[in-house]
Amino acid sequence: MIAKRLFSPIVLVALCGCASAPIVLDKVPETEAPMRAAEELGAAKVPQAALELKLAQDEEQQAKGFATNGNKQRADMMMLRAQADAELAVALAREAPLQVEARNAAEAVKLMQQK
Amino acid sequence: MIRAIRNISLLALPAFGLACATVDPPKELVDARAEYQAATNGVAAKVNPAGLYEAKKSLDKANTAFEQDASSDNTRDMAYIALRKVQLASAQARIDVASQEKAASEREKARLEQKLTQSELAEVRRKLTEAEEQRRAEAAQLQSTSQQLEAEKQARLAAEKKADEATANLAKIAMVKQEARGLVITLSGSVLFTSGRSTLLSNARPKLDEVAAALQQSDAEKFIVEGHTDSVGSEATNEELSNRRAQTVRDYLIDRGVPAEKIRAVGYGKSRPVADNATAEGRANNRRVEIVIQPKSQLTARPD
Repeated sequence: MIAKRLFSPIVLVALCGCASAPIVLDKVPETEAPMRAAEELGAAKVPQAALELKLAQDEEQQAKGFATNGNKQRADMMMLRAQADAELAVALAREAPLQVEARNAAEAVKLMQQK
Repeated sequence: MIRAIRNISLLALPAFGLACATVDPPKELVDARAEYQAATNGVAAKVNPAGLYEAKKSLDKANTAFEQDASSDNTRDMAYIALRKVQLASAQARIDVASQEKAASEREKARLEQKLTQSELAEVRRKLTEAEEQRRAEAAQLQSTSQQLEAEKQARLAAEKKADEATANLAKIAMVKQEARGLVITLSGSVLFTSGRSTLLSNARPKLDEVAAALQQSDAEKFIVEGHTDSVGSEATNEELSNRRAQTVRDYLIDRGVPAEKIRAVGYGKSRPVADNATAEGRANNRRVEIVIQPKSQLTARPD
């Protein structure tokens, strides 16, 4: 669903319309897809995931800034950093509720076994 | 650069006693190596070896970049990415373990539910609700602590950003280089003074303001302003001129807030050239003022 939304014509037009950062545009989907996924998984409620997501967003902006100034290598690396942070944000956002669910299930079993 | 100055005492520690022959890896690479080492002994090695292998490849690239150019942005970026990939491999491993544990508990729960009476099940549900409420209270407390930590982290990131901006400004006006004797800021003599004089040019003041701002943020113990000349003229004249110039720069930096007790001036005349005095370009490079930021551990090791 995320990928479908990301590659919708409107989004692509919007991305391609940003003439100030042409160099990093090809990497934007790879970075924004995990950022959107992290948001949808509730990264904002998981402190460490929220931090990783914020770092990813800031790095994406920095990458666009480097691209605008013609520093392609630094822009590319900053985009890769953003992607790495965003992917970690996804994992952390997924992990937190799962750990709670696993603990709850284990606790229920423990209580039932005491009966 | 300022971050480098801040860390300089730490950087100097392992170098002390080794004649400062090697360059220490950046913090990002140190962290990535440590995280990978920990991950190889953790759950990721058992549950997510493929993810850990990907992280290892990323770390290898960062190590190679470090060997090629120890202090480049590229090296730091690659190390940062490697660190995140190791953390990702570990997180994915924890997710797999939690999923398996949850599934096993759910199966056991379903089996036990068949055996319990309605009243026993009601009792279990009541206890679970109580436990859930207690956990919520603990989570709220944890959230509060996390928010405090987050605020501290954001403040640190903001300080680092400010330091990076100061570094960028400084890099526009001076050459900054890590050497065995410390971090060296080199300013061209022609930028600071007119030929043969030791009075600061008006254009030099904003540049020295940037330097003063950087020095004030440093936690180094000592700064040395060194004056250097080319080989034109007598030794005595050059030594006196380099002394006066170093003193002028020292006085200006003190005037701009650098503590006087931390900074001293010395003139080396033409005795320490960095380029060939036979060419005009070489002589221009030799006419310079260097500001050496000495780490604490070098003060006793390398008296000047």
